Amino acid sequence: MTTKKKTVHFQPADLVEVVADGTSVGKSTVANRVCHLYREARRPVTLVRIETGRRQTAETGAANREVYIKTEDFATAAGRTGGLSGVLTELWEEILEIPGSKGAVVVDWAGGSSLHRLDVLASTAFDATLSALGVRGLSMVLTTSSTESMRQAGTYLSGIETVAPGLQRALVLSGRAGNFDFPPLSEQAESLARLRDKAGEIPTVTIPRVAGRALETCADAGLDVANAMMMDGDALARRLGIDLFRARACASELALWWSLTGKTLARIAERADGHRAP
Amino acid sequence: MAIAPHRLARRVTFLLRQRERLRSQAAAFVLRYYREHRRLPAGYVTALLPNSTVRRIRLRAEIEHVFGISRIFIKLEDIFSTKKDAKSMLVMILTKVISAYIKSKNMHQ
Repeated sequence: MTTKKKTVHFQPADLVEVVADGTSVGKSTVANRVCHLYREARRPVTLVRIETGRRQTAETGAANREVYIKTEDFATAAGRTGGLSGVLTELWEEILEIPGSKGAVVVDWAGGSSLHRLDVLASTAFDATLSALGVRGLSMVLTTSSTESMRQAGTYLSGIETVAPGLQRALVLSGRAGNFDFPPLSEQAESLARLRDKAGEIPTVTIPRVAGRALETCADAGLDVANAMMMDGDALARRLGIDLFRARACASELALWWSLTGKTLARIAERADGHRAP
Repeated sequence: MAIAPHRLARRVTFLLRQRERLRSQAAAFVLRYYREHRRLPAGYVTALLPNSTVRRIRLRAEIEHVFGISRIFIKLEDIFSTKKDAKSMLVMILTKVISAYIKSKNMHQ
């Protein structure tokens, strides 16, 4: 007797937005990692980076194509057709191409732009428009272990639920500022419990912390994780301004983080069809 | 220019394998460091080991410090790691000790 083995394909969302109200949460790092996941699954991906012009860097090589929208352009919203949504014309063009190209779009929203984003979600009836296009969207809300960041994430999650109830959400606990193992009854533990209450049934995952400040060191040098790993020990040491031994230790830590994070993010990206993962 | 996924995957595998090789040396390094400085080395070294292993090494080194034998262990380790014929020296010492013990036993009989 032969048994038929069920094949499970990786079918992530068509549109993934990485958002957080604060800065230095790890949004760009997670967005880049998600782009690499799509490319590992042989799916073309476009990274739309909404960031201040002062932080504009060269292309990271994370996606097949990178589009840059400056946050400074939000100041010109009043003079554009569609107001705030007029600033995001390039993003809408990319989303409209998804059904035809079968590609994916990852959006890396700037810190501090949550009110603009919620405004745009409400004015464009974002969830309804996406489902009309047949595009599966996912909003990943990131938070660090700081009380303020967790409070902001809770508010952000509630905001998305109010203005776009049909949009799939996920909570990502980023280990950027430390782990989430708080002593019971501490302020942070209570804050995390409140955040989990607000998150309810939505998928929640934890991105592990990188030991030895490897991520921060690379970010300070304007280096993407993948590029840092691809560099030779000597070149990485020169770029980071540290010795060869520490550069190799950093690369090794990044590789471990890369491998763990890939599995974690793939799990929530797959749940974007609205079904709960087993 | 986008990085080819298969090149990146190969690089990650290589780095992780390198890390596995380092892991076997890390425990000895941490123990030696604690014996000398009475504190743990930097995070990127201890991160190579599980937390339980680091805790055990720390406890062992602390006990050695309490009994004042950590310096002796450092010296012994130096002898065995620097002298090429350390093993043969140890075998010779052990042979002499055993033969002296047998001789003394025979004399008593």
